[in-house]
Amino acid sequence: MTRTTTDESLLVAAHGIRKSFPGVLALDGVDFAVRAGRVHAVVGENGAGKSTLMKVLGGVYQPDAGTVRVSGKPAQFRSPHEAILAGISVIYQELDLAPHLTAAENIHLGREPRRYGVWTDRASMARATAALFEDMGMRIPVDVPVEQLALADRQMVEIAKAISRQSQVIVMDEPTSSLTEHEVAVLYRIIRRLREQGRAIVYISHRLKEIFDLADEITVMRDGRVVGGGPLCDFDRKAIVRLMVGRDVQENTRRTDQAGTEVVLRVQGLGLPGVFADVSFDLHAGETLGVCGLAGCGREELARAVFGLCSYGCGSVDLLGQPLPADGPQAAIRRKLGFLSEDRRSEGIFAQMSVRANATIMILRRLAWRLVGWLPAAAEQAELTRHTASMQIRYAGPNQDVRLLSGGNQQKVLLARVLATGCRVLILCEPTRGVDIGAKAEIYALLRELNRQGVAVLLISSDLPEVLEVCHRTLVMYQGRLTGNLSRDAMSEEGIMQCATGLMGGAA
Amino acid sequence: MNEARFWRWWDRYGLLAILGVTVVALAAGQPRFRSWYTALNLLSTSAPVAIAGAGMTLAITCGVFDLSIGALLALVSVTIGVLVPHLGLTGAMVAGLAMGGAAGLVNGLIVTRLKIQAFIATLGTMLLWRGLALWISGGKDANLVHVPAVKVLAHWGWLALLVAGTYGLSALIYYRLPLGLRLRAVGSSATSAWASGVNVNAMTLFVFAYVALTASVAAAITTSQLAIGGCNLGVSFELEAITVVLLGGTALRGGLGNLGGTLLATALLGVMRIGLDLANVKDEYQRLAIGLLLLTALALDGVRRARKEAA
Repeated sequence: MTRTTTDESLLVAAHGIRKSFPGVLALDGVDFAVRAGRVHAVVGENGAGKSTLMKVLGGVYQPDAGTVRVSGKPAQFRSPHEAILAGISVIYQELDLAPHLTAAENIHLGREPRRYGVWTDRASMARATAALFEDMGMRIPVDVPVEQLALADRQMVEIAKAISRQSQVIVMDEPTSSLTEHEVAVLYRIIRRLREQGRAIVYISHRLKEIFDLADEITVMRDGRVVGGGPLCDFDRKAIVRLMVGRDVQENTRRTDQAGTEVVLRVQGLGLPGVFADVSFDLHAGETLGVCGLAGCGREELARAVFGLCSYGCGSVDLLGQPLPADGPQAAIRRKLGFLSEDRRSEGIFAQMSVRANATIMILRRLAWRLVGWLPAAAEQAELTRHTASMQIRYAGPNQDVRLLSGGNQQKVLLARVLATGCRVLILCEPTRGVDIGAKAEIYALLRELNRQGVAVLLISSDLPEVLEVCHRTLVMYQGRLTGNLSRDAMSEEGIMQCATGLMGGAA
Repeated sequence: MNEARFWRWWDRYGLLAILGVTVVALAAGQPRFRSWYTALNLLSTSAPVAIAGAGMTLAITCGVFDLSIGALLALVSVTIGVLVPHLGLTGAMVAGLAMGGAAGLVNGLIVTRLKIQAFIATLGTMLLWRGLALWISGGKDANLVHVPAVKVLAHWGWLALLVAGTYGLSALIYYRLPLGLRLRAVGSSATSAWASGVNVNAMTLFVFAYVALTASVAAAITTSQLAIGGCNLGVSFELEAITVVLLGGTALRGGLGNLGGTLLATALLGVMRIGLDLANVKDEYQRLAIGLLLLTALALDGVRRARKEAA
């Protein structure tokens, strides 16, 4: 990469950025530059420093050392506001919208249109937002509090917000993590148009396919450093992965082993009015069964209903040959059913609690001394070690707060938590969302090992390559109904998408 | 009417319906209730809470509690009492308001600069203001009975004007100014407001100053009504204000305020007190009744939210 800061097309150039947090050197002398009219991908495993770098560019963090230049002029952002004024908008991975505000209010927050320079001009705010959605090809209500919108719609509102600022540089940190194919296509179109308009887009994603679809340039980060980069055409998939993880990773293998024949979970005629209807399937011991579908097809609700997190209208669930009444998660857990929510932050981790407490919270009754309830730390520790040994969780110590771990490591702790219950059937919702490639591979290996031990896995996933790689079989849902039941040989991305869009219904 | 429609109706008119039923019941059962005197009585007993409630509505909407306004009421009252001989009544009241606003800024600075949670910070300044009030007054109420026109703010015209003015200004801020939107954004999610370029610290300073100003207006009214600068005034006044705000439907966790609800809830509590007084119900039973009312209202809210989530 050229380092001539006088170059006109360099919209933002960061040089020698260094940022440390207590105990961690997050960025260690990073150079990074983006040009006008380019899509610049940034890849790296979780904890590589991508998000930290973007937060420096966005004014959330102030670097300990190094300089940032915007259009050649030195800039020091003390707040996100100053970065926005300088023409840099960032769609952060975890900073959400204000839930009580409407889409229109969220998008215009901080630069509300005014009438006579005083009143908030709500009418023009709503009009502008509607026009913006129209232009994006999205149908999202503008006057409903965003907390009532689906996750994918919220993500699109967030993207709309960044676009509407007319920023020269738009940073998107994992923008597709909660989007389905349709919205991803919309996003692609938006990004390409922004590029034509001469804006620079910084695109962070774990999905290499998206990067090859979109990006012109790439920067690969590892352990707080830039380990490679340049025009994307100089790289192939394998080279990028090797740079990211620092070793070769085997990818895209299919399952070859056979699942068992014993039915461990039987769902018959399950229905919830307006959400899903007439869903029936069997899950066998040692099998990984995928559930695919677009956002809103009802697959998350189905998973929650099976586990007892929400009620269902009709149908039945049999677990290990016995009916499982919809009595809530406690009953399901006692009956050896495990569940991991897709929403790791609000339905998974206890952020302020230690790694150890997070891993053992479901088996306290077993670990604690009977009658007195005393919880021996040694027993907790033994349990933690037993279930985390195979997963290589990176953490400083068992007493470290779990919130300080990267997303992939948090996910492994959650897996350890569920596995500690000795469950026979495991329902996983998007277990690798926002998880880096290395940790993904470890989670896949773990699933295979669980299958080998006879544990059955119901995998709700919107990551099609993942489904192809780890599932023996997959169900596909469309508008609340099963439209596909594809065997290993019949599974392909195209086939799944055809069922998921209602083009084709098939069983194999 | 189906269930969803009932709850929507309840959201909008529930409090009004309870108030209406209470008023009708009292008017039917208590001949003495049917008089203009009741309205005047309601205005003079409820105006201070109503006014501070408007400020508290904005504060809770912005995600902060101010527990210090009861003590601040005493501090401002004492300040007015001490300053009347030097500045005259008007001057003393203006000085009192200025001091109240400054106290609010102190709260805001403690929260924004020292990064102490609002709840804890104002718990501290609650003791601080009360201590200052006792110190300034030497523990004695300043008697203002002989000050000419001291009762001016006790007149119903002034009370009505101050209540209407406070609610008018608060509604203007909440519904019509960008400021209101930003307050809600901060209360809804401070980090996302910050990342959107909202100056969260400025918003926090503003709401603390605003709620303190409304409490100071309440202090001026109370001082005028009682004709004393009292260092023991306003005990549990902050809890009354928070009660009417929450009863009125403002979200406890911020982001969503309901000014009209606060006003209605104040009126409801005021009417209940008057009615129970007329029926010679003892104070302890009155508190019991109001406590039960609050719990019932919050329980209904909880039921509704549970339904919403299940749907």
